[in-house]
Amino acid sequence: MKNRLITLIVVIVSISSCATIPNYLPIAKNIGSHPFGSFTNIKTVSNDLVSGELISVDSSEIIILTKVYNQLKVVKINIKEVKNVKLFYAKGTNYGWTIPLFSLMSITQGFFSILTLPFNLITTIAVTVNGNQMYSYQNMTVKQLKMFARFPQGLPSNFDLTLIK
Amino acid sequence: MKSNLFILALGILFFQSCSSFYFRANYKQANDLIYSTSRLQTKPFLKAHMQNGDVFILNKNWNIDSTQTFISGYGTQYDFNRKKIEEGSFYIIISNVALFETNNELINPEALNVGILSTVAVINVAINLFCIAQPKACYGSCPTFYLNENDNFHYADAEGFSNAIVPSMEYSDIDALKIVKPIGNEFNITMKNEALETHYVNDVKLYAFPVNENEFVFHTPENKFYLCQNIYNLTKAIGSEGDITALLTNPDINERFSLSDNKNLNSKEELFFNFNNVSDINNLGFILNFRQTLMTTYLFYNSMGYMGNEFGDLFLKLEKDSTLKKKFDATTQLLGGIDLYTFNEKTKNWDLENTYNETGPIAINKQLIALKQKNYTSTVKIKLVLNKGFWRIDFAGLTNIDKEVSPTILGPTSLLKNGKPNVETFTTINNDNKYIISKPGNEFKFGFKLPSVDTKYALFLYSKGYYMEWMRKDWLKDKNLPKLRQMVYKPNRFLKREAKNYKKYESQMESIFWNSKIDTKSFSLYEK
Repeated sequence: MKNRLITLIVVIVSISSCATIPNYLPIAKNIGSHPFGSFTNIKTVSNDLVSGELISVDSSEIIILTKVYNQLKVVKINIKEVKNVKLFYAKGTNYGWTIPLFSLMSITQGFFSILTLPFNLITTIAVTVNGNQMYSYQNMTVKQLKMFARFPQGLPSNFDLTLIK
Repeated sequence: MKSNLFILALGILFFQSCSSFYFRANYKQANDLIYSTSRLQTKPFLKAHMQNGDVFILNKNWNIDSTQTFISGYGTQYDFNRKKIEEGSFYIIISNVALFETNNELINPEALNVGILSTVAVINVAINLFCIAQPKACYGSCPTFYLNENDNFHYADAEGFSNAIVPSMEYSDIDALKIVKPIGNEFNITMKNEALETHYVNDVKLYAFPVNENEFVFHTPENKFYLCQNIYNLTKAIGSEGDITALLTNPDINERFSLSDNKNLNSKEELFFNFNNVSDINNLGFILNFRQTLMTTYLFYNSMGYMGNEFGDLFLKLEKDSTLKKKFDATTQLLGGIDLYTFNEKTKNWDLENTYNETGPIAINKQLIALKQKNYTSTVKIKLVLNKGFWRIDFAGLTNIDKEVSPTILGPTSLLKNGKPNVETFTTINNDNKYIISKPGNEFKFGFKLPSVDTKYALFLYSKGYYMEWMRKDWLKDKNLPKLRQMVYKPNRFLKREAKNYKKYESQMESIFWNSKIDTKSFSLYEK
């Protein structure tokens, strides 16, 4: 029982840690009037993870505005170094509250709780994870990724990246 | 490889003037934009990404002039850092625009999640309402025993004194455990109280029988123990639904059961078993792994509900009045046990051998009946007569009885209460006049020392005591003394009239509770 409880806590903590989508993203219905680029997680072939606002994408590199020790910094990633990309274009919906609520409902179901507790946990955890990741894409092509940058047209000519905030 | 695909996709990008991905579309030419948005009743917001990095976000009333020179509309201009520059009406020269972007509105993006949660909520609310309306269906058991303390009651190894609902009905119960070869000579078993009951446990002992390879010990309904050899599996088993051989060939908790009769709970059914090619037809014993359905729980809790606020007085009467005590479970007496018949090849009749009867829906009983009849060919034909919807059968087999044996009886050598040593409880369990009192949520781990190391033992659990069911507030409203009298004095009539109510309960409880697969856990007669 203790082990199960620990597993459950680990799962819930894991879910909470998934919810690192930044606040600057719009809610889903405002995606058409949001001026910034989407939030992007890029994993490189050397297994480094770079996260931040997608600034632009061109034939050779992806430019990300990321935070390093609380300082904004522009990072260029060579396209050949990219292992995979995950992009969030809107804030997810937090369904985390359903996990304790439905678990409590199970507790009051006597014999049935032995079935409903795991069922409720699996369902609510799945929905919470899905809600967090709902407005995201994975395994996009460069063409698709470019459309979600702050500058989908590419960087303006002679643009000084150090001015980006 | 992924990088190459990435570069290839990048190449394709530069040969296309417009592109779209799900809700988002980009246009390099105003003409493409006009074409793709002209048929829309409501235009989407338009983003005009400028060559200098600024962006204009225009509301849904934007327009392109007929000469395609400029775009007009109300909106907001942002600089390259997306700092708001101005809000108002704009005329944007198209030649300064690097790219147009439109986004379709997402329609019901949360529909799937909301749908799933709504469905789950409806199921949960239905079960909660059912438990409020029928609390008796959702709670209750008697002391449950586990070899693995982390198991839940689906895998209870034994269930103690289920019939002892008042002190004077105290009795001892023996349940078969497994054949084990423990590491060292330590053996532990955990007793749990998983219901709203108080358990009064007078004694817990272990009956141990050393066995060799291919030897088994089974106990009979009369608590005799037999050393046996050979297990003959079923050749054919037929029930009212057809062939049930596959369900009864292995002790795998994949059980055969039927539903109750909708007109009369007291309705019998027959199961027919054939064992072909029994190599030794001498001293045969029939092994049956079985337990009750939840019909017993239903009847018992109903009787408590009918007592209402007179529950205490009536239980006191039950305790003192031996005639009433005999009649109290008249309904379950009428439903009966599992009658075992063998086919007599000489007389061509079915001979009644004996009856299996053990109360409790949780732990599976494994019992043997020594067959008296000797007139078999190499095919042994067996018939079971049992009440519909009252029994669940997991395994049926034949064995050869070698001899009657007596156990080595072991008392506990250690005892943990809720994970901690408890001297007082340990002293109590070893005193015949004292009782361990176990309340809901309590766990007692009994430790035993087997006589020798490196020996296989067939083990049986002996438990003695009684339990007091807790009256629930919700049950008080069910008070119905005439119905209680009918239950006790006219059980036949009661079982007929209650059939419909039970069907409602059975269809929900039996199908959801027992048929649901959790993680299937199979076990064998031997556990090393």
